[in-house]
Order: sequence, then C-alpha cells, then structure tokens
Amino acid sequence: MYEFPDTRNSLIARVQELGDGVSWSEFLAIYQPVVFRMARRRGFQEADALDVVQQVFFSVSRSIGNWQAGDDMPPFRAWLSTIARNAITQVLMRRKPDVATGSSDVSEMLLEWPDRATTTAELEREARAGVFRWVANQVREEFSPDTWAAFWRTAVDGIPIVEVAQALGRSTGSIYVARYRVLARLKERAEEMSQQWDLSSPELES
Amino acid sequence: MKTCCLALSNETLQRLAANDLAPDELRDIEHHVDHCLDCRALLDRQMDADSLDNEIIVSLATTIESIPSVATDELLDLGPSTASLLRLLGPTDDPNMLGRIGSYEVAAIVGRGGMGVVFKAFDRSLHRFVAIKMLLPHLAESAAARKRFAREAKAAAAVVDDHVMPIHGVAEWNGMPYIVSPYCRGVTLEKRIRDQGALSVEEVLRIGMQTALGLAAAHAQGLVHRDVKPANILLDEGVERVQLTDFGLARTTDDIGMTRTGLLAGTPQFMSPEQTRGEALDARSDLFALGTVLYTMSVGQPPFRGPNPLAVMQKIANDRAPTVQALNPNIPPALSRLIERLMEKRPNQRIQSASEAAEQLRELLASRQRGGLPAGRPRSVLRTWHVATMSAVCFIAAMGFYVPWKLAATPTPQPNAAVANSPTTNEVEPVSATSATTSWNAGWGVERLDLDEVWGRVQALERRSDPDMSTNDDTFRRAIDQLRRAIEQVDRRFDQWSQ
Ligand SMILES: [Zn+2]
Repeated sequence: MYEFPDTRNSLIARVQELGDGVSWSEFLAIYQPVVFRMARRRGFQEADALDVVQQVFFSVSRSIGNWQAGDDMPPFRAWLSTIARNAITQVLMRRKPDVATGSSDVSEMLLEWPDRATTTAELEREARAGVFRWVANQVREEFSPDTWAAFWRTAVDGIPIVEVAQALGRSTGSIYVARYRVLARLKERAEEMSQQWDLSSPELES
Repeated sequence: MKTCCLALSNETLQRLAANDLAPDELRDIEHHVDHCLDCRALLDRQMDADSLDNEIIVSLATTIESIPSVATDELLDLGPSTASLLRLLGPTDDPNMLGRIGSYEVAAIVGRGGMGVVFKAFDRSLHRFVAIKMLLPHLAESAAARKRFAREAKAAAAVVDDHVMPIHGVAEWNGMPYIVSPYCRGVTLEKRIRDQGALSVEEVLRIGMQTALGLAAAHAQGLVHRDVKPANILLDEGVERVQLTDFGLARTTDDIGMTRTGLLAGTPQFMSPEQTRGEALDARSDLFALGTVLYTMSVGQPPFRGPNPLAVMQKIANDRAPTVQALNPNIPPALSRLIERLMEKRPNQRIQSASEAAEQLRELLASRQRGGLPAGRPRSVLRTWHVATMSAVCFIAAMGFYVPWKLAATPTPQPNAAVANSPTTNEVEPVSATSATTSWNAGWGVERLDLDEVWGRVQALERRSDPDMSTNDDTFRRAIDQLRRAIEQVDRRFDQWSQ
C-alpha cells in the first residue's frame, strides 16, 4: 500500500482542531509571535523567551476543554483570545528575566518593569498586529506573486511606484491598481478576523 | 496625460476590491490609470482613507522576527504549502494570474480543505469565472482515489436540480482530476452562522427545506452526500436560493481509509452516528446531518462539541443533544421535534427520506408564513419564575461543586409543588444559597437564569466527562434525575397554567 507522507502530520493537526473548527495552528500562528516579541522586549534571552511562550500555551491548552457552546458563552475565537490574553499578562507580569544572567542594565530595567495597564495595551496592539500578519499570509495566496510584490514594495517598503513598475517590468497603472486591490482585500479580512478574535480596535468601533 | 473623473467609479472600485473583474476589464483599467492623473490621485487617496490602512502597513513593516523552533511546532498543520499548490499550475502570460489549469486562467486559491484545493479561475471561452476543485496532490497519488473522485464527480454532475450546485465538467490536468463548477459570490451557511449566530425561524425552515430538496434529488439518483454541513451549503446572495455542494466527494477519502476515523474528513461535527463508527451509509445518514444542520441554524452552535474530533465523535455516537427548543425558546416545538426525529441515533427511527423531510419543512414554513406556528412559550413570562429557578440554580450550583455530603443531607428540593401554587413564596430550603449562587454567577457570568437555561445546564452537567464529577456516581445520577423531573413538572404546570 502506498504510504502518504503527510498523513501522520495532518492527523495530528486535525486532532488538535479546537472548538468551532479553529485549528490550533491558526491560533499559534497568531499568538506565538506576540508572546515571543513581548518577552524579548522585556529582556528575556531567546531561549528564555521560548520558555515563556511554552508556558503560556501550555496553560492555554489546559483551559481549552472548558469551553462549551451556550447562549451566554462568547464565540470560540473570542473566548480563546480572552483566555490567551489573560495567560500572557499573567505570565509576563510574574516572570522576570533571570537577573544573574543579566548585565548592569537589568536592575535598571526591572525598575521600569511595565505595569499591568501598559502590558495590556501593548498586548492588545501586538495581538492585532499578529492577526494582520496572519491575514496577510492568507491573502497573499489570492494574488499573483507579481501583484503581491507590487503592493509590498510600494506600500510596505515605501518604494516609489514608478521605480517598482520598472523593477517588475510592469506599467505604472498596473502597480497603482495592484496596490489598491491588495490593500482593499487586506482591510476586508483584517476587519473580519480582528472582530472574530475579539480584537476590534476601540477607536474604530466608535 | 489626460484627466478624467469617470473611469474609477465607486462601483468599479468595489469590483476591483472584490477581485471581480475579468482579466480584460482589469487590463483596461490598468491601462487607463497608466495615463490618467486623476485616477492615480484617487487611488492614492484610497491608501490612507482610514487608520486601519496605517495599522496594517505598520504591522507588516515591523515584522517578522522569525521564531526559532518551539516544541509546539510539531502541532502545526503541515498541509500542502502554497508553493506546492502553485507548482500544479501551468505557466500563464497574464501577470495578474497565478497560472493555468487546462484552458482556465487561475486567479486565486480560494479554499483548501482536508481533501482538496479550490481555485478561482477564468474561463476565456465563456468569459466567466469558475471554481475549480482539485484533489490534494498527496491524495491524488492513489489511483483508486483519483478514479473515485472522477466517478463521484461525474455521478454528481448527472444530478440536475435547483438546489444542487451544477458541475460544468470533470477533466484532468497533468493526471490530476478536477471539477469545474460555477464561481459563486454567495456565502456559505457556515459563514452566515458564524457571523450572525442563530438564524430566524423562517430562514431555518427555508434553508432547511431547500437543502432537503437538493438531497432528495440526489438520493433519487442513488447518491449519498456523506458530508452535509453548513460549509457545503451555499446561500446565493440576493436570490433566496440555497445550493448543496460537494456531492459524494467525501467518499474519495474512503479509498485511503481515512473517513473511518473521520480525521481526514475535517470536522466531524456533522457526521451521523453510523458514520463515526465507520459503518455502511445510506441516504438516512444525510438525514441525520440535515438534522444537525437545522439544529445549528436554530441555536447558532452545532449540537455536539468537544475539545477534539474524537471527543465530538463519541458524543455523536452516545449522547443526546439538548432539544433546540430548550436552548432557543423562539423555536416552535414542531420544528424542535422534527429536528429530534432527524437526529435519532438509529437510522430506522429517523424520518426516512429527504423528500418527506422537505415536505414537513414546507408545511411548517407555510403555516409560519400564515402567522401560525408560535414559539414554545412566552419567554418574558417565564422569566418571572424566579423561585423555581433559584432553588434549581442553588441545587445545580451545589452539584457543580460536588459536595456529596450536602447532596445526601439535603432532601430533594421540590420546587414544583411550592412554586406552582404560589410563585412568590419560597418554601424551599436553599442549599447554601448565597455561596452557591455567588459562585454560580461568578462561573457563568449570569445574573438571572430562567428555566430553559437551567435545563441547558442540567444537560451540560450530564454530558460532562469530568472525572471529578463522575456521572457513574449514584448520588449524582439520582440528583440529576430528580432535578430533571422537577423541572419537567414545573414546565408542564406552567404550560397548563398559561393556556
Ligand atoms: Zn481617469
């Protein structure tokens, strides 16, 4: 019988599918970098930051079984988002980088250890950015590599449209149009997903 | 350079954003913008129309510190990469396109499931977009799977019905079979439910009826769908038409021996009990799934849920879901009963055919539209039944904490008798009322509970597989039974009283 190389891995992936058909991988792809970045920003060495990441997701994974459908329960992604944000704040507020390994800056840094409000705001911002990056990875598939490059180089890298057109060997008009198409799609999906993950920006709601 | 203000109308901008323009229309616009300063300025202004643009761009610009491998990496979904999917395509001249499949220009990858990938493609000869569904490369390695895929698709193509997505054709590209069907801008029922939760009773009936009609047409040809779920039900926007997609395709994975465990087929939430056991399926399996879909539309959530697919499958095989009426009092009892009859565990106890189900749904819809078919009971009145509720709540809360000595020491509360006579006196000895309700409220975030909610909780407790609250425990079982009877009695008296 033919062996299917992907089978074992996709089995694992499916078993890890969470409530509501949200896959563990989607969740990790959004939140893992968030935790890692925040930990690094707080002075954790890479290995320790990874430790923090694992600690957070271990604690989240233990809570996942607690979700049950119900009128008074939030939708799964929103609920998971809250659980994750609580776990992240908790771990980051409690754990500090190992002072013994640090330099003289460390004690200074500990004095300015971010408080809960700062951490919460930072987390909110980072999680939204995490969702946007995840959305970008998805949306990228909907466009040809050329169209995506036209968007990325002009909008993200800030290269003038005429230069990008020359580099890609396309007309200036097509770069304008490509940039618009990709950004419009990104916005649509970003709004949808940030809402689903309960990360709608307060100023956008009002 | 000339100037104009007309080429990029709002409608054109919208169609650009929706990726909805045929390749030649797109080229015309690109050409125009190339020569029109007004339109360039217009597109520039669109760039920072709101703060979301900025936030997105900043997020993308300030990445992407890659994370070194973490232990959890092994849990990442290692489905086919985009690159591997793009390698399936032939080359194209159009820089806006991803590639080619046969004579179709592929514009985007619009979906990928456990089994296949869906491309959006442009059919030049008929000047329209189509959806192309292709088996995932690793599945297509199996000759049996390839043949089955083509055979099922051809069988499905023979079903001509308003409520079954038509299939334009079945063909092969580099040895890989693919299906061409219309490209739909509508949304799936799954998305509708995810966005808006439970649907209105009329919508439940209308969508349910049309789905049943589609099933009936296919069943008449001897086809079993095997994967009826909201993601396979398309809602045509504007027109009130529902179409069932992906007939028989789930069967392809049988050849690779995967649906037996249901793992490869994706979410098992809409499987029938016989399907979770890997038994032979007939049309009645689809009827169970239809019941599950109706259920999901009625309450906004599928009936069987769990932390992983295996847990869900166990529940499908063994547990009874709470009735939809218990979860959503707006649902008429007749619909609730119909759903229960579709979701009978044993196929021979179900409604036996899709056409019968369609007929019943049609009758319910007609009587609903005539103004009949009221909801179960007036919820607002029920909300005043605090006393009955309170005692039940305390009781459940106490059980939630599982304090066996308390259960044993406290006589069964009898809210039925006390309450039915006088809703304003509380003769029931609350079980550590304050602490229990406080914790209850803290746990669930509810201030007031009504009978329906209590009922839902009881059933949730029953379903719980928490080892600390073993349902084998006799005391617990008895307590639950008593509570269930008490609630039923209150419920009945209330019904009599309100008539
Ligand atoms: Zn113009």
